[in-house]
Amino acid sequence: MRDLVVTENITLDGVIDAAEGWFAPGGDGEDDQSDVLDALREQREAADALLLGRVTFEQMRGYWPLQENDTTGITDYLNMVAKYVVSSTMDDPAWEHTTVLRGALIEEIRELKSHQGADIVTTGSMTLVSDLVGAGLVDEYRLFVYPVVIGRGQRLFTDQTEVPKLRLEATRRFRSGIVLLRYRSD
Amino acid sequence: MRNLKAWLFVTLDGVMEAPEKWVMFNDEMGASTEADYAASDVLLLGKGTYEVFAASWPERSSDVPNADWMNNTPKLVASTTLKSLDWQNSSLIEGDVAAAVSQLKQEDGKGIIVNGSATLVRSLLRDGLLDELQLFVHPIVLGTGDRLFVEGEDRAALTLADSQAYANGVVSLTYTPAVETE
Repeated sequence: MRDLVVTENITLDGVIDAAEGWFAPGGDGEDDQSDVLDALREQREAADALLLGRVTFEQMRGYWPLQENDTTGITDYLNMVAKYVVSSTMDDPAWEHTTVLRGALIEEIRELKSHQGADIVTTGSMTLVSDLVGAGLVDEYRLFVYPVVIGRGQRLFTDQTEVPKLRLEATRRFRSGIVLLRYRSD
Repeated sequence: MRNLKAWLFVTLDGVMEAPEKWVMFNDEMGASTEADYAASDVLLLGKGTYEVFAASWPERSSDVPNADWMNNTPKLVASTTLKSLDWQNSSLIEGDVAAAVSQLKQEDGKGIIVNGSATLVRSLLRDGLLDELQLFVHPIVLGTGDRLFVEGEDRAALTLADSQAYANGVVSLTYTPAVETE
């Protein structure tokens, strides 16, 4: 069974909403983020599917394919990887290698996991992730904890979320003070 | 200048309320907290945490880790509503807390420790008085309970000073306020 991995940039107060402007796509211009980019590359290489909510999908579609001379490898990866967007309203995803998942979430995800393959990674996608967490479909959390408190914006774990106890798999510290925490659902 | 350090037990979703119900405390965490207590001679608390501590620590005998330090060390309580201080060596902070803490830091002495006391910790961070903030992040998502950081909190940029993964799955993250750059 394939793992569904939720990977998020997250503030110290638990916010994953990028709209508050506390991180830039592909790394921040000021700090040396090469070690974070290495970690993301390792993650990409262990995955063969990207699962996204509609909003994140559209944001990525509107940004990454336009990047020229992207040395991070993210643009090429996103263009080529098998993408799955959860949406009941999208007709044409307009991005190569994309499948629209229109059915009931739990069934769609179980179906996706049942096929042979490597990790399925989800990132951003606040609404989708909230649903995945609530449905107990997440196998691993990879949280890049930023050394900031933001005070507003959607959190990864909203009130009344009950998640079974997690097992700490690994921690990794980066030059910029970001810490990666990896947890598996027991 | 005396060092003001706060540490809290928090869940992965940031809840710090009633840790006695869910805390996972092991020898490694014991060694870390014991070392911090040994380097300090004042315990600064908010009302909520003071009341919980005052109801439990006096009952603990000397063989309980940190019991002697907790009971014998002077406790300063930041509260305008607390009526009685039943725990030995406790006193209320008179007047403005920020001014009192600032004054305390300039006096001679060892470090100052804050445990729990989310509201107090937030105001110390806002006022630039907190030198270190250590979070013992537990591999638990509770869903309800008071959080350390609340909605509408001021933005804060911090610097990671240390991180430790413990054998029981708890992760310690220690932060200092970020240095202002021009």
